Amino acid sequence: MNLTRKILKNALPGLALVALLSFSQRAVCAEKEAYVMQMSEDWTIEGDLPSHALLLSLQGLANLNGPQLYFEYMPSWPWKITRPLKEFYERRHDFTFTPLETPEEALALFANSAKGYVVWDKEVRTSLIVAFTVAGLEEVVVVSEELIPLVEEYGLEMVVDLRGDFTGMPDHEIYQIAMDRYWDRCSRDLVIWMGGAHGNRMEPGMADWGIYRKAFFTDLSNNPLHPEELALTNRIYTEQNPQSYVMGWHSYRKDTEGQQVSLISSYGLRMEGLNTLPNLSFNNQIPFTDDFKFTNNHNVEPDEVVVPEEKVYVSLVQTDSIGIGAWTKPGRGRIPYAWQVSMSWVDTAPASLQFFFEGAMPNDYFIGGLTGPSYMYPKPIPAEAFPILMTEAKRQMSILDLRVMETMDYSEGNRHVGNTELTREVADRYYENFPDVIGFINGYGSARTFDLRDDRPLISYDYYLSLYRPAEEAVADLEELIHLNRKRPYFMLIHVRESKSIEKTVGILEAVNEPIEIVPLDVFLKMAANNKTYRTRYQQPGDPIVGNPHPK
Amino acid sequence: MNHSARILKTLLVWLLPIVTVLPVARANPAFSGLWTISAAETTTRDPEARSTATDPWRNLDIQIEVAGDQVSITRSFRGGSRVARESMTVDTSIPSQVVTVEGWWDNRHIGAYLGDGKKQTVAAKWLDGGRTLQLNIEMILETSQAETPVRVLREMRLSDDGETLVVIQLRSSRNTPVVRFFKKA
Repeated sequence: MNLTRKILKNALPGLALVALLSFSQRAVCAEKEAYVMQMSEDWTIEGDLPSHALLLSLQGLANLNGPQLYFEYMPSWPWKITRPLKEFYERRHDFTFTPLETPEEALALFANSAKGYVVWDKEVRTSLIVAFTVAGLEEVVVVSEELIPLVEEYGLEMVVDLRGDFTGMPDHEIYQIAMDRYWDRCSRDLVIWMGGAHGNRMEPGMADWGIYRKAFFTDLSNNPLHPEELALTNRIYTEQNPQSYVMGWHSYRKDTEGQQVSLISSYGLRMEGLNTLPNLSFNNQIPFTDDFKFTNNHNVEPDEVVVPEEKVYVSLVQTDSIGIGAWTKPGRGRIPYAWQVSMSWVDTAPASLQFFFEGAMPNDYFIGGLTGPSYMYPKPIPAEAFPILMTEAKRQMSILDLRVMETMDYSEGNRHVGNTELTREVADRYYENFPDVIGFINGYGSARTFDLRDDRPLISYDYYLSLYRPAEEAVADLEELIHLNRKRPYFMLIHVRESKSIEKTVGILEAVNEPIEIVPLDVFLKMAANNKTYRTRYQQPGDPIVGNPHPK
Repeated sequence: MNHSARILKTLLVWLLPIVTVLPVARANPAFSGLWTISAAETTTRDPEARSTATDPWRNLDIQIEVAGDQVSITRSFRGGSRVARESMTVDTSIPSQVVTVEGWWDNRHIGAYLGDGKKQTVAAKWLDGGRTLQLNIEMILETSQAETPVRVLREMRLSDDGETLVVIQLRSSRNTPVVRFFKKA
């Protein structure tokens, strides 16, 4: 092979990766000047939701021309990182953010990003979700009737009027009309599930992203009790591209997380939450800085042997996406903590991940999950789709320097009832498809799946530290677990609810009336590989199955 | 009638009325019915409440039916649309019995599950003039390491007005008691 061909052959994988990232980011160079607005806490239809919807649609359109408009959210918003991330952009990407106070100021700057406006019907909440679809396809802003004079002041004209189109209709009829009108023009790589809060309230933090990507918006049900809606849901999942994204969240009124993610997984699609995830149209366009490479805080070498003592070893993990939890709360770094990373952000919001990695303390350790390249449940994933999905997960883990994969399966129960176990067959697939991880962890609450193969353990959580559990009860819980598990070493894996502060967690652990040692997760797994005091167990035929029913 | 027989007859005449009026441990009828507790009454969010936290369950209820020596007890643990139940019928006239229940739901935060085919050995008796039902339970809890025998002492105490059922549990694996105040539904 001549030198040129050799160079090309070696460079191709890297070039492909750069191309993929560039394509995913839809921009090559980040703008250095941008604008920031503060979102209020009122997301009701009669309150600030109409103006928020206008601004979010404007954001999605403005950012088609580069990362220009960014929103900060109040402390009550699930995502706590909007201000710290902005400060990161200022510090590491030399961004200057000029504050904007009113929609008028935003329109003065960015109205020319829009080709007009679509009017939604405040009497029909679902019409707003349809309007978001229209906004992306027609590149128009979203307004309710009282905001028409405002946007017309800035030269915008009506393009689509949804008022009266859906009066008195149930959602399945509304979305059938929406699909008849718009589905064929929408992205097949991304669909937005604008669920979450319902009734008089909507929290469409992700709307800018769906508009930016010309996605179909919906909050259709995944619940078998709603057959008309479910038929449309299944049609959407069927017609999306393989391994494509379902982003947002299920509707709290219609179905359950378990129902939706089970169904999505059965199609081999990828869920990324939440409907409230903000600023993706901005964050997507900010690449890693030139001087950055993901480096995890590994405590052991991949082939290192760690011999445990006759002790109780505790390792703590926080999942539920790093941005909505205790990362920004005081106490981080005091004790070893593992943080499950939203791995798909390596393509959708790379600089956000750099923000977390660069802010890591020595005691912070990152792990992959949940289940695959995005949030999925292992058991419903079709066997034939597993390899290609996990190839993508491995690519992400390689970039992010992750050596532990976490699985979670709510397809047959949750932490209250049913089971959250893996079958041996499913575990076989993980061991086969992830030859380089040092171990796997499983569960959300406690679970019963354990194994050890070729020095790589599969350990389920033994304890779920709930946000509302009184400290004295949590202490008694941990002491009870220690009493029930007498063999030493005892490996106690704890899942900490995302918003539980580390300081409170430390307080609980310090109050336990038994000696324990808190260790980083990679050390924990290496020790568990060396001394197997846990019993191998997979899902058994007698394990209960409960299919995630919705209250209504 | 000889002297011994005369003494025996005298004893019977005097003792029989006494024996027949001695109190026999049987249930207070107010035990039967549905007893409930909700998360709002627990320490989950209100530190002033007296009951031990119920989380992850939002509501607990106990259905008790007393029929002579037989007592049927169904405990329901509710969280949203999810319900877990534990049902047993015990005989207070015998030393103990083996019952098979649906599962152990008292603490879903910890990795401990009812083993031994979901069997429990239960000794049940009435105390305090029928105002307390005491259950001594032996069961096996399975964890990641092993099966462990666990003893539970559960007392259900009826208030004087019959409107409150205080359930106190001591579990051999737990360092603190669980105390809950149920109201008659």
